[in-house]
Amino acid sequence: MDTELEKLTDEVWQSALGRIMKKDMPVVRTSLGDDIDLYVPQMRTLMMVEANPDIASLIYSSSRVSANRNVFVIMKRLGMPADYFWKFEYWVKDRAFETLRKVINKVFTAIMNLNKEGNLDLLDVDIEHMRLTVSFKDCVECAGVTAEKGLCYYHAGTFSGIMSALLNKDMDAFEITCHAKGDEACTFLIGKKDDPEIIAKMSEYLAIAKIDTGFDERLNTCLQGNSLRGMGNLVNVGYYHSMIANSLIIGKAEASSSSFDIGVDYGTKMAPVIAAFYNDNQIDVIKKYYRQLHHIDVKMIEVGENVDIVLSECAETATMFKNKELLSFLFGEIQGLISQLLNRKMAFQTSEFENSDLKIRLSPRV
Amino acid sequence: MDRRRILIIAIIGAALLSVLSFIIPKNAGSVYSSVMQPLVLILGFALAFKVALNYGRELRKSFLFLSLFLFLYMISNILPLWQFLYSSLGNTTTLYLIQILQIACYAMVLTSCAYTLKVIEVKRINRYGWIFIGLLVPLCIYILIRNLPTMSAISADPTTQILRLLITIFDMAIILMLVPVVLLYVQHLRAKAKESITFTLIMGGLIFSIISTYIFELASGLSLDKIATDYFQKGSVLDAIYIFGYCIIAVGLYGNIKYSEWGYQAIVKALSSKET
Repeated sequence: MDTELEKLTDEVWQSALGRIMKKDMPVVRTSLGDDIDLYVPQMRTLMMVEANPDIASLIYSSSRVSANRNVFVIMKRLGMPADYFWKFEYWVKDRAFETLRKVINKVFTAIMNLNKEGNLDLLDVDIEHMRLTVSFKDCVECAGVTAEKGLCYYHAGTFSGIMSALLNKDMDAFEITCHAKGDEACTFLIGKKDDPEIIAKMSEYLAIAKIDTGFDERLNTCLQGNSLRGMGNLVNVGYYHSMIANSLIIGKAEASSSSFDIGVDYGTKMAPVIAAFYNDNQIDVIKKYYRQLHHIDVKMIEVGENVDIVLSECAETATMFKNKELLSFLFGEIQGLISQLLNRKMAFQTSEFENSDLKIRLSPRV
Repeated sequence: MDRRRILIIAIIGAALLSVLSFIIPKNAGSVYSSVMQPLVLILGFALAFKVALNYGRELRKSFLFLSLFLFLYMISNILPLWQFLYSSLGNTTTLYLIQILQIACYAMVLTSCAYTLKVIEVKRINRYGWIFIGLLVPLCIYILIRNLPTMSAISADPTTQILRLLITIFDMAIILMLVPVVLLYVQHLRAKAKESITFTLIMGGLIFSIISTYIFELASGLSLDKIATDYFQKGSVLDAIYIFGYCIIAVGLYGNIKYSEWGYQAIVKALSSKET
């Protein structure tokens, strides 16, 4: 499973590279498109972190490892010499800043812009202490969220992985400002893993903290379609895949076993908000909701006491390995949502793939 | 163009420039060598200085001392200057000057190497390195013995003979001091996947230039005196070897300056070429 998830994150990176190399990439979803509302990956991650704060650290570590591994591949594919940043710690500041910024902008800012993840830029290079500061405007991870501390763990891990690979140094990154805290943009400080100051700040950053997702308010904002950032509310579905995979690669046992229950809780909480918003019959509410978020095309059929749901163009399974373990959050979410909307206690029974569609059966809970 | 291809073409160019010194007619070869050697060295001096400005701390010092070494070495390669000094100051004073210049040159190159060692992480020579040094010591002693002046030569002109012997002793000493640097750098290359190709060229060219006389001496069986009078800047194979070594240093330094630009161009090219 780990290897499969690693392959998945590698596919996301390679596909993003392919797009900036202007390769003809296949369309992931013909009807819903290749983007998804940022609310979907954001809320899924926040719900997971809220329920199990350890997941923040897992996401950080696995996204760091994934980025590191893939940046080596990217450098090779772009013909970038392995010794490009040779003895970077001895470079004069201006040269270090200009050269690194040019490469970051050309490759990684381009990738993140295409993915609509945010706007990455190098702000400062402190050669003496080997610390780099990057800004990330319009960050997909925290847009529309209010929090007391930085919560963009995926991007902190990704940026530390990128810099570690580029500079051939073991580096860590933490947020010094976060849009969720009311700052203008997210800013990350990246420094050597053995730097005592970085070690102290890292443990503070990844320390278990209770996050209040402000769920109802955030969902309402999403449904009203208010623009949350300069680059809009959509993000490439590849980012969502990467987020799911990275939350499961390390410590997948804890993450996936709890993700179904967290999904149920999420679906249950979501139901009254979306029912009130759409003010329509139950089946149409679900359809409209998932379609508005560019998440899934849902067809629901009531078969006796059972409910069969056909998920087409499902963001989770588009180009993804057809691994049901990855879908446990979604199964839980649908169970919670349907139970609440139909006002019947339903339980997830079976799921099967029919070509590219995913068929789920819910039965009355005994 | 791919940076490796540029470096390979530059190395081939350096080889062609050096081969010219002994394939053109003897007199022209002599003039060519006496112009090319100092010319490439002064180019190396300028490039090393430019490289030094790109770095800070130990690496800047390493390249600054390398540039000073190349400058002093360039002076030692201006044959007409030394011929003039011999004729105007006499043998003994000129030999003293040569020795001062030699010591200054070697002090620069050793200081440069010392700073290089501070930059590389590998600090201990491995078993194979010690075996290599163990073989090199008797070889240096052998070269020294071969160049010992005869008793009759010493009694005829003791100062000159002793000074010449000191030049050889210094040369052997510098080789013995430089070899550990090279060995440590080679170990460093093997330990790290991301070593600089341009820095390796510079180090290679430097060592090659310094030891080539002695390799030539051992290969040809000629004495250093004979080599100095009959082969140095006379359009010989030795001249070609020198020019090649200096050109390699210059290529390495130039590559180091242009490396970021070439790498970035490679990225731009890869991103703009539509692959399907």
